[in-house]
Amino acid sequence: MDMSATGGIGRRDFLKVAAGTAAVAVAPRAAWAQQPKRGGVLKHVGLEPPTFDIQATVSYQTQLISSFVHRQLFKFVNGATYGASDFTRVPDLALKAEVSKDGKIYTIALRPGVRWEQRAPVNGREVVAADVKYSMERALKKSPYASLLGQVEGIETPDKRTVRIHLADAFAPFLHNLAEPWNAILPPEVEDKLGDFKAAESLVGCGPFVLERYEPGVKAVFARNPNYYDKGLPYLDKVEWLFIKDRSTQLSLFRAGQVDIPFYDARIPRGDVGSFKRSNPAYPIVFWDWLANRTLAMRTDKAPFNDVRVRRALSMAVDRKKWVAQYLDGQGFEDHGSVPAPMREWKLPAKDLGEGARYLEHNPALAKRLLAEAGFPNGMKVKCTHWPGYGPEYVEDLELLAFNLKQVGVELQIVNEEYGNYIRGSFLGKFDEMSWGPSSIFTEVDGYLYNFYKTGQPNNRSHVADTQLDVLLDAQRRYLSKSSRKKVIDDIQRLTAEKAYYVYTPYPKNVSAWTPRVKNYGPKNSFDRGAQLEVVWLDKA
Amino acid sequence: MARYALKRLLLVVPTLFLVSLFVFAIVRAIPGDVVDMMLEQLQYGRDAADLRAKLGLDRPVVEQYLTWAGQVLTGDLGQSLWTNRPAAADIAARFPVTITLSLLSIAVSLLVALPVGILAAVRQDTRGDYAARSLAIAALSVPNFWLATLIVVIPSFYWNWAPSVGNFQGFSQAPAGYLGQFVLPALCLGITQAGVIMRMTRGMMLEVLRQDYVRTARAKGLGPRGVTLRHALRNAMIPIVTVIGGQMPFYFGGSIVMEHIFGLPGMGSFVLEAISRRDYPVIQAVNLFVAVLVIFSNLLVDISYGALDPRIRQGE
Repeated sequence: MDMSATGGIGRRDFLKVAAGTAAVAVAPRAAWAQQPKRGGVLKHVGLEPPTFDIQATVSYQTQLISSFVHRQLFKFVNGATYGASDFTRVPDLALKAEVSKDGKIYTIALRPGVRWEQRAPVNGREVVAADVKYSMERALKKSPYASLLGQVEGIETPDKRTVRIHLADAFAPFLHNLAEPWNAILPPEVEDKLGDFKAAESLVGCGPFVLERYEPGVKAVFARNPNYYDKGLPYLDKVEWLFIKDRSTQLSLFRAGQVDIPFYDARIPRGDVGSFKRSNPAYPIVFWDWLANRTLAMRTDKAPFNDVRVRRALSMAVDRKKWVAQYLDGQGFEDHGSVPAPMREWKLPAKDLGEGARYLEHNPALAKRLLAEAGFPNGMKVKCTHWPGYGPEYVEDLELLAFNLKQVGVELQIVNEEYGNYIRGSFLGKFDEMSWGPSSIFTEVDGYLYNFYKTGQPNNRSHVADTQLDVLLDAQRRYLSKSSRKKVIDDIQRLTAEKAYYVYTPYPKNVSAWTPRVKNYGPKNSFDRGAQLEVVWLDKA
Repeated sequence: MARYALKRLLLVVPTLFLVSLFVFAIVRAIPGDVVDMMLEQLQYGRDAADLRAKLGLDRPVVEQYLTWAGQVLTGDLGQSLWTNRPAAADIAARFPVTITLSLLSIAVSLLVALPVGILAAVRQDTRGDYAARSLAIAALSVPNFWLATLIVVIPSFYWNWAPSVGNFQGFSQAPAGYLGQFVLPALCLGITQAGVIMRMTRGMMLEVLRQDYVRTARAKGLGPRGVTLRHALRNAMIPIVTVIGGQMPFYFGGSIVMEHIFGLPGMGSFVLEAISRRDYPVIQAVNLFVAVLVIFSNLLVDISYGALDPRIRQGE
């Protein structure tokens, strides 16, 4: 095995990782206008999870809360100077990683001297390679995200600070996905003692915070971990993660300064921006790129949506420019497609989409003609399932979509579903004609491509079965060189735009606010709240 | 009186049996299956049959009911399918919040409704009566969630003030603080229910105040306070108590909304989450528990009839 890592993701990418580490260690802290202050309690509206076992759920609530305590081998950069979709990877529990030429063997050196928190059953012992092996094997066995680790054939621990992972095939998103909170390193003693990680008592880790108190239905209180490997962090003494469910209450407490951050990602409703500027003029309000797609999925495996002309007509019925300019006040993305617009390094501009670019343009005349050619000269009525619980903004978006489609003769009959039915049915493609809603958030481009388009994937809501696309989707996973992978992903974007398997509707930028005393906070499209808040400090503790 | 109470108590047994059947059946009638949901949330794409067997949901429904009923009879209300926590332990942790809120709401209702209702009856067709009747109609018309939302939202908007939410204190930590955090939700819930009791009190008092024995009491020289409170009110109370007993489920139901808005960790938010996750044992346990509470509160109402009216005791 050649560990010089000359090909693909090897040397170049790891130089980037090293550079990223240096950047995190030096740049942001130097760039802060004020010296960070230690101390204070951050009051943050949060969410109560259904379980605390990060490897046995897709629940983002679990990832958010457990990230205060748990750490991964890598993490993404955080702080006010980084973008919400800046997923520059830096070492966390790992010190460095190397990959073999063929991309099948990863050798990861662990950071020395990292210790579990000073609490039974781990009692401050060192984090070692066996912990990584245990956690990864458990994730492969239990996690719904296991497929996002590629095909792991085996994990070795040559010594207590080295982990070697063997893959059956090269898998480009591998290292990126190791930075996701569902890949945190867990102590095996906890499972030995408690039987599983479902209960709050199982939140024992080596992260920036330790769980001080969990009050079901009320809050979880996290205190600074004195054993944390980065001795300068976190700045906060404590974080109170408050389970306040009512949105009006959340916002009222925020206006009154009783909470510092009004939602799990600091979001406030778009419609309330003006009133916040009036009632709390000192509060910072920022618009930021959001990653969840909003898509109209169709049963492309049966008529009438197996006819590409119908799908293209629907796409051309949407006036994306007007939608963003008038309805979203310019704060949104009209140039949408299979790769979300905020993923700028992968996103192919509409002008480069080739023939597919035509179908993203608003052209009701051509849309009507295509529908007529497909046998629907008088338009059609279509049932579209939806879960209204996403909130009024989503309901308004769907109504706007229905209005757009009606202009070309397509009448959307909106079927509101109860959450349970939606999440186990429509969200997984189990609907009769159409379904509209947001996607999950993925931080790696593969999540938006493979999950949505690969034949047989549960999130392939449009029932796409396209051999050419399947080949490309597999290929982009194998190309470790970013430039080669980008070419394949460009081809995927062209093909998906041309085939219009989904109608992508514009989506707004998120708008977030926090109290003025919160410093170095930057909204993030990641659920690693621990990494995000370890660099945050309070001006007046 | 004891025989009367025993008879009422015996009637509870078949009622509870029917309730348990209903609770068990209705939970399974909710669209969406816990297995599908768990496969989506926990391990989607894996073996549904295996998970169904693990949860004991592959057995015939009758067998499932008998197993559950047997457990309930031994005091075991089952475990959450999601957290493995015993449902009884969660109910025990959350019930004090809900019952405190319900009792304080009833207290608010009575403190507002009884004096105003009595005054309105005693001063019939005066300005005070009109004001009281308008107040009752207003209380009936205002939805409690709307009132609660206004109380939370308006002061924050205009004065940057909001009631303290998210800092729930247990009774043992700070008794005064514990009760203090219920004041606003109890007012919202109590005021809206007070309208019903106020109207009922006024109506019953008007009827009773026209009775011969009230006239006799006045003729004997008793003062207006003694006539109204000792003679008239006591006889007017039976229908009022019946209404309060009948409102118990509304107090429990209303507390769900109040707990949500004021961030109180009661049974409301607990059961809502259980329903959204199709956590059958928890939904069954909470529903059965609330049903038992309502049945026993009605039993208390029945027994109180005997205390209020000796003729009922003698009739038994």
